[in-house]
Amino acid sequence: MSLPDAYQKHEPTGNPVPHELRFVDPRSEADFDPNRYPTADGTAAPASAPKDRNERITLEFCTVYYQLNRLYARLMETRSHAENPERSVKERAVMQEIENYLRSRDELEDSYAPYGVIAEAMTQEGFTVDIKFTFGNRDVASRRQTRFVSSSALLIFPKPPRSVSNGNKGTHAS
Amino acid sequence: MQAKSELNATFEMQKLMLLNNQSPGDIVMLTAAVRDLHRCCPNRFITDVRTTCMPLWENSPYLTPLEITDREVKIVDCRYPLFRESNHLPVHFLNGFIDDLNDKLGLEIKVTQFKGDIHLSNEEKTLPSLVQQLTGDDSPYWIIAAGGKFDITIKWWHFRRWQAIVDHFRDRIKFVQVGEAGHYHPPLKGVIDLRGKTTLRELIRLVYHAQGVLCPVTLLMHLAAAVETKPGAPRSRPCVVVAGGREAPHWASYPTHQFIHTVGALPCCAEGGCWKMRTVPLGDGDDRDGQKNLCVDVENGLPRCMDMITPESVIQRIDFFGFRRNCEIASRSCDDRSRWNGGQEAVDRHPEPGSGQKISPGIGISGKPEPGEIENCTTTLTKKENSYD
Repeated sequence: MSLPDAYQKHEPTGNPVPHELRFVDPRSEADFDPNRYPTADGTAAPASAPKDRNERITLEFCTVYYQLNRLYARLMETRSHAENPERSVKERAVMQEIENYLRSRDELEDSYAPYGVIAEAMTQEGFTVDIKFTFGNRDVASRRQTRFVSSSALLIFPKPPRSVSNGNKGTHAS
Repeated sequence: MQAKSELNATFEMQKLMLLNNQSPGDIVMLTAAVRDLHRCCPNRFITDVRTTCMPLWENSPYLTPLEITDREVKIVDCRYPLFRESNHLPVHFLNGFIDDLNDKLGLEIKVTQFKGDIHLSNEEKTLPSLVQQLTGDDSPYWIIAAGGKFDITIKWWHFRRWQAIVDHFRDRIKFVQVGEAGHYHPPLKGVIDLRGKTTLRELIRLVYHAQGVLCPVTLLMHLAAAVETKPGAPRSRPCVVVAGGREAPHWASYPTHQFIHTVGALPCCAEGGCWKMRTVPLGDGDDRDGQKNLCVDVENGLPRCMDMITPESVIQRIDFFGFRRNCEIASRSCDDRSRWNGGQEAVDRHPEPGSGQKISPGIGISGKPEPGEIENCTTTLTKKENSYD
């Protein structure tokens, strides 16, 4: 039985979450194109060199999808030219680069899967415009199960004198 | 006179309020306990519940509204400590709450059915499936849950493995992915994505219409057994469970399910389920991150017991059901020959040529064999072995 390559090539690694970014933040590069940089959960990605683990993971996925966007734009641009041998060579080179980044993306997904991290790309016309993140260590409070609180109290009230209860206001009927 | 004694009996019935705040799968087990309480002790109790996932109790004939503040109401906090014995006693999860009620109420309730007690209203049964409502397509489907809650991550299997199964059955089985919003349910490709889009009642209705279920040990597994099947469908719903070694199979599995486990095959679950909670610490401050709750044998980011279960082995178990289904279709079709014009079901299965009715084969996306294929049952079985086409 043959299975898709994706399964065979990208088994999860189970490595612990690293404390360093796996990629160079492209926002520090001279040719950075902000239009190709996706948002994270609808907001701007965290600043460079974050200390928080989730922010680091967010940056890594943003970086990979940024590179994929950039390469996809280049691929589109290459394909806009008339077909010729030179175009084929360029196209092939770009596609190989895309393949490398797709592998990097898969490796990221695999290494963070045991920690409950999901990075879901939201695409528009082939470009990733936003990434929806789920983190295993976030929103803990909302996961806590409802706890039933059952309490009881014993309240003792002395019985009022019979005369009071009879409405005789202290006078005894003899 | 008789009416008076019945009235007296009613007054003598004990009012019980059963409490539980656990997960929906646990609540399904509690529904069975309430059913069996009434079956084994008829006319002795009036019961109501306060639990999480209250929609699971809708249409239950065993509940009567009670006030928790009523002094006549006995409040019972329901638990299942029996699970601690599950590695060395022949007990099922269904026994868990029942054993607890027997202890707390001095009863001798017995399990009366091998499933939870979930009821659908007639309206729910007559409504088209959620899938049909959304897509207009009423062909059969399987439900897949490719993740779970964050509290017990040791039950997770890797999403690429779930994906491999979906890919394998492409164009043969239509998969509908479900999962509660806020839990870990990575998106799969090539499925109808209903993650976070169903209420609990809608999920139950989805299961009612489902041909099969593929999941880890989770609510969906319990629903696959507890929710009745549609008229005309086999009485037991196919269900393949990727279970690993966390729970003893006799505790967690249902007799008609394919429960893939490794208990007995690894040192960490050599004598029963390990009952661990997490594969790796999530860092969410939960006690389950503690060393005693962590898997002791992680391989490829998965507990070894889950890593040992391959997509191929799961595919094979799904194929088992394909074989069963084909046998049932063949056998029923042979019976139909003697009553060819007698039942609408047979007519539906063998539409007249040119009637315009869609003929669809096998199981999965389809569910019915080609008319010509039922000429000879033996031939059909040989031809259709492990096939969905």
